[in-house]
Amino acid sequence: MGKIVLFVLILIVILIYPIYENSKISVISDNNVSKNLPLVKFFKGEFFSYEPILSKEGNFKVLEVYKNKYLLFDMNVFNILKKEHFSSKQGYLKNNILHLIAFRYKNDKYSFFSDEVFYNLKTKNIKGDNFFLTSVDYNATGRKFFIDSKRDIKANNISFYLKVNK
Amino acid sequence: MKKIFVLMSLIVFLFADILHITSKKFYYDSTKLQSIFIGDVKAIKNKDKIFAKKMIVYFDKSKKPVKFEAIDNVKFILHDSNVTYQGYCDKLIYNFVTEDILLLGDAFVRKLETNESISADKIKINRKNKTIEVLGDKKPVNIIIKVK
Repeated sequence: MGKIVLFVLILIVILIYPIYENSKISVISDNNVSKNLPLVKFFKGEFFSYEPILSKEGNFKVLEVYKNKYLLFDMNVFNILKKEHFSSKQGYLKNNILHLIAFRYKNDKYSFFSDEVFYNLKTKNIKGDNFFLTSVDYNATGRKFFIDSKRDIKANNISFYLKVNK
Repeated sequence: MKKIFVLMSLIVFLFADILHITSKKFYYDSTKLQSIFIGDVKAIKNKDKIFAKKMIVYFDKSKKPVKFEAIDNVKFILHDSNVTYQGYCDKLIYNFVTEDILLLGDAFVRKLETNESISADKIKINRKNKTIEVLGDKKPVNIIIKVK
């Protein structure tokens, strides 16, 4: 059970890591908040993370724990404070590399989709293939991409659609 | 699901004026708020086309595009009502707000309809006022006007 909690915590930390820009987080005082709330609670395939109040919640269909790897299927994570939503068809963690398939990220400004995302837990770099980014002002599609810990992006074969004044 | 979102966003963009940029490599600098396109850069907006080796799009803090710079071996074809400008330069700066186009370094513009041409170090095209201003300082200005 400890490993599962650790894995889900790692997933949450990774997934909340902002890909491009973060919206400002409203600061909530932890006065009047019960100190008895758990860090993470699992309930019927759903999990709830408290920092110290309920900040993230999510669900998954299947979690498989192996000796040297973890597999998670049909996962959703909602960051309530940042108003962000992450989802993935399949998550796979092995040797500090989190491999997410059919990854989707959405906030109030843009949505980001990728067929495949690799997140390095040590370097905090994200790389992947075949992405699509959409927002009110621009759309972009591209092949291999790389996002460093400073949130700078590199990509190949990009097609960028920018909305401009007439 | 991805295809649906692509389709939806394309429909939304269908009713806006869109600058479509393609390149071999792309780099986004989150500190400087710049999108940098490198290698076989093609920028297309309606009938206007700009080709260059490099292009930098500058954004303001609200992520709105302010201007772009096309750099190195810049070739362009721009259409205004009944007028087509074709030319080349070392650097092209397009201001999205004022719609000024500044051509720098070995700049050359030809009006295709009349075959009139200008070459200078600096040429400024204002698409709102439909004026061309020559700002050459080092290189002599060459203006060829067709007379009847």
